[in-house]
Amino acid sequence: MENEKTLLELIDGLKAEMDFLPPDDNIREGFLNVLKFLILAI
Amino acid sequence: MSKEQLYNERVKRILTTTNHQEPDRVPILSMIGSWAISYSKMTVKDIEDDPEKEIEIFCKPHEDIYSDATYTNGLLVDAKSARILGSESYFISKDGSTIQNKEICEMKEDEYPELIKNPMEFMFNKVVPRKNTKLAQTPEENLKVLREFLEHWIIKGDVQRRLLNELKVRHGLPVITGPVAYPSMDIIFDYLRGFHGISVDMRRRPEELLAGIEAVQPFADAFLGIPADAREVPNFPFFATMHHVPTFLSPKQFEKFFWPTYEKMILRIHKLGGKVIMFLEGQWDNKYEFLNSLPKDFAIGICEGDDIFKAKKLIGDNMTIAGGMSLELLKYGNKEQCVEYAKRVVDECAPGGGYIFTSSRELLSPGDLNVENLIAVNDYVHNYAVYK
Repeated sequence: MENEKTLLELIDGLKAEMDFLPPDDNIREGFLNVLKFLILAI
Repeated sequence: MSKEQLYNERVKRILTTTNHQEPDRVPILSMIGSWAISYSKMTVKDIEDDPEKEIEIFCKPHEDIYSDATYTNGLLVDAKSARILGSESYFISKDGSTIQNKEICEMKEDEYPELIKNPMEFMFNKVVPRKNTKLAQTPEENLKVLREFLEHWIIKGDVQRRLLNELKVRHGLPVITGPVAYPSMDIIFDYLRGFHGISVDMRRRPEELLAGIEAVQPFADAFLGIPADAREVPNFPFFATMHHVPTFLSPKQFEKFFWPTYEKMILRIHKLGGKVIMFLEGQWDNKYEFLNSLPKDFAIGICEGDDIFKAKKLIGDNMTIAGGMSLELLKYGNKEQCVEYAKRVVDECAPGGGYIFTSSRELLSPGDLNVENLIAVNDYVHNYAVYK
């Protein structure tokens, strides 16, 4: 359930919403890692 | 010559000098950051209202100023991201022309055991909500904010990709920095403990700090973006490190806390055939032994506060030196003084290769320099610094 997820789990869940990227797991994981870094940095 | 040929020629020029061979001429790097906004007579708000403008803004200086490469690609961080997340860490300057940063480090000194035990859960479930108020809501509300953030970066990511391409097809200009090699001690310094906190931790809880640095390293490795099964990485653009904490460390502190994890990370890049460009922020002359211990021709160091002539003598045989053109002189000097100084820099640093001409600092604010001086020295070096 979304309403029980931690913030980290919600962030990791964004990977499933990256249909704008090619279906390459390395690319999606890479974009997710950039997002995580930005969230920590900001 | 087509723009693609020009681009390839410039990449070759840079790679040749980083291998300590003399290319056809000394490469010139432009360190253009948010200064491009005021130069284009725009504001940060203009980019927020129309993200496409970032492309025009960061292409504009290259219509007037010669260079063989540019340091970065548009704005790396923005104030709108901070507003979406409810953070005060990044905001627009009063004159509207730059992004400013405020240190917000919310990890407490007694929380190292939690960081060490599970760094990802601690950083994202505990620290991040403390400074990003909009991520301290219910999971449903947090998800809505994260989706807005994702949407923002889909647009921004697309703009940055197209800017990279525009620089190539319009100006034949490569961007020299690629993926970021972020030192794990800098992650703790920049985002968790801050200047005061980490200074105290080095004295009062060194073992916990060391374990914390080790614990954060997998996050830094993930951000580096090299897949675990990679057999090689491109040799251009370079992996990049913008060093923050080292200038505040003694050589002993640097050796103990900073270097072990960072060295391991960048040697992996070397093993896979890549190179690292390091922005050596502040003073580094008491840490040259570490830079000289790196594999030859692997690293490029942009000297900010160091004497470029000494740096060339002391580390220039092992790594490529970039910099030398004093930003202060570009601001306060006249054209003749700037050109004369640029000539001296080239005469002393260029022989044998291993040198890239650039300003000592990144250009951020409207008053950072007299642009006529920059145009004059870059034109001068482009024409003068030809290898025979």
